[in-house]
Amino acid sequence: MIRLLVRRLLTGLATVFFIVTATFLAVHWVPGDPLLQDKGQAPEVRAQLIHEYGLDQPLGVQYGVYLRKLARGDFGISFTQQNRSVNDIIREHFPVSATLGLLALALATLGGILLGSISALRRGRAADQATRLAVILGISVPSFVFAAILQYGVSELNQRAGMTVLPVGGWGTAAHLLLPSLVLGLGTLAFLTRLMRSSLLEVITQDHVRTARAKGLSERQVFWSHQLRNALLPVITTLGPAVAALTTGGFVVESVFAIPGLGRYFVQAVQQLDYTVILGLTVFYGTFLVLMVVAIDLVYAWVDPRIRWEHHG
Amino acid sequence: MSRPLLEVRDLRVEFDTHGGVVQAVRGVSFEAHRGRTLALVGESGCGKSVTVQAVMGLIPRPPGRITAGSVRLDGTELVGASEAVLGRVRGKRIGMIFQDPMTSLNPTMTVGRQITETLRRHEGLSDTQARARAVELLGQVRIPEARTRADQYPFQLSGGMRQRVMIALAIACNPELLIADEPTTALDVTIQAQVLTLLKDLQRERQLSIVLITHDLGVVARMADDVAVLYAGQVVESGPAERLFEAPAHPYTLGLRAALPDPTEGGRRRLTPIEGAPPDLFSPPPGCAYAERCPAAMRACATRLPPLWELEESHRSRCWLHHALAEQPAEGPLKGLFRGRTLGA
Repeated sequence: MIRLLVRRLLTGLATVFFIVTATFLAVHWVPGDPLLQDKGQAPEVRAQLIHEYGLDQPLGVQYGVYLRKLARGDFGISFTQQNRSVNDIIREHFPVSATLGLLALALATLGGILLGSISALRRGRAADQATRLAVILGISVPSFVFAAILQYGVSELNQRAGMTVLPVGGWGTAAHLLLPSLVLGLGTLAFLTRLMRSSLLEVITQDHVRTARAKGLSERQVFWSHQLRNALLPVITTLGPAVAALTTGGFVVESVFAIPGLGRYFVQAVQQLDYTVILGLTVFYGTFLVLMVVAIDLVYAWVDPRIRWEHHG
Repeated sequence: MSRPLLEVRDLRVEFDTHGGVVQAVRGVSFEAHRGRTLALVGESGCGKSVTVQAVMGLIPRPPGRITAGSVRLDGTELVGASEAVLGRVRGKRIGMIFQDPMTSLNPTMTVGRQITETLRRHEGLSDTQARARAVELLGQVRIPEARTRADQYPFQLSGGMRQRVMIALAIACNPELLIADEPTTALDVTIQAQVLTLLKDLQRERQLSIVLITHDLGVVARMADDVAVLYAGQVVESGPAERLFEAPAHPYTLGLRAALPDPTEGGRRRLTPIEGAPPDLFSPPPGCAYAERCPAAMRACATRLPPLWELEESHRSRCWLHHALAEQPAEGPLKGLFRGRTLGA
């Protein structure tokens, strides 16, 4: 287990290094000027800024400086908001995105496993048909459409009730979390439902399930101790990328619901070619993704003994 | 003989498929006696596996269903019995071994736990008791270092070892009947012999009845006291094993024997295959299912199903040639076979 962890972390480190290098080169090769937004800038001020940010140095030197700072955990200062460091931006706004994302993930995972199981166990019946239709909708309809429909419905409800039953936007209380996390998690929920259904359908027909029945176990015991665990394996593998996607990819949902998450800064930074913010957030997201994948690998090894033993030798 | 332990009467099983309804088992009857081994013999698709799954109540519904017949275990009817009743029979009174030990064990559970699961279910043992019993069982099926093995997963064991685990699992709760569905087909020859010896020994020690499904006549010769030959979802011949080997009465059994090499001939004879293929079970023929491939088929064979004639004590055969008025084959392998073995209408 330790061996597996160390090996995964080392490959993860290499991945992060690659991400840093590729992103660094990409932002610098993209045409444009991060210091250009202020049209009335005096040439001396501009020269001063270029010097301060080290843009007058050769690219190789800039890269070296960036790596050295990065090793100390310093992502640098934003080009466009010159009073804020990228670290501050992340510290302030990532918890918001992460809370929203983790809640969305919890909804998606539990809901997906539950609906997928029901769908598979009731194969071909009404519950299955309805779930499959809902899955197609969930996967194909974009989240902002759901967001709009839900907001419309809830604001209508609030009006009828004459009070705010549920806020349709903003941030602050637990009630603010419900709609956006539902909308954010819906696509993943649909995807996981479909995955769980097909995975369980496959497990149900396997020989060892027949053995479990031949032992005299009840249907309930067969499901909980033999079918569910084995059917969860493919679901678990997809959770790593899903965690990262949901905790970091909520830009659309964040903007529709006016939530002060990290996604907004990322998009702004790309539009303004804010080198340090683009780089910082990409590296941060990349590291987060790598860590999540490692975490899921460990969970997988814990659930599936075959993986665990493969890494013993 | 006393009342049989397992008595299957006129069992019929159908499956819904995209192509229509398959009549997989079409009126199978046989009995298994205490302390004896009954071999169900037949080629792939003849309904032998479906028959024993029906005995265990393991036919998946849908698409399958038992449409008629009865299965009695020591007098208790199992067809139509509740899940609660069947749950106390499966694993407790009837143990079952499957063909492929690679896939028949749960890959994510230690073999020890797979055994304790059934012990806790039927014997009400505590975790520690069940664990001790599981290790003991693994020792009884001759797995070395049983204590260590109990904590391992199926993928860490060889095929032969896994099949021993399956056997330990099947006999864990001291069943009266052991059903073994092609237990050695997936194993290599030396391991096959060891597993068969183990089954024989367990049978002697525990007075087990065994229903053994196989298509391997070598296994039948080695293991069986009684044999039932299945063809296209029906029993075509049944009786004591020596009788069926020495004096087979049904043209299909005879055909099977002719398709085997005979060591006394030194391998000079060409093996004689049975020409053709078994009938389509979507629309089985009204008469004898073997008529189309039978060298001695008569006109009546195609249209009327022959009864299972009782030729002598417990030796039965389903063939019109046993009829007193049937014209006996004058040449070929069946010549003279039915002389003195015909019965009245």
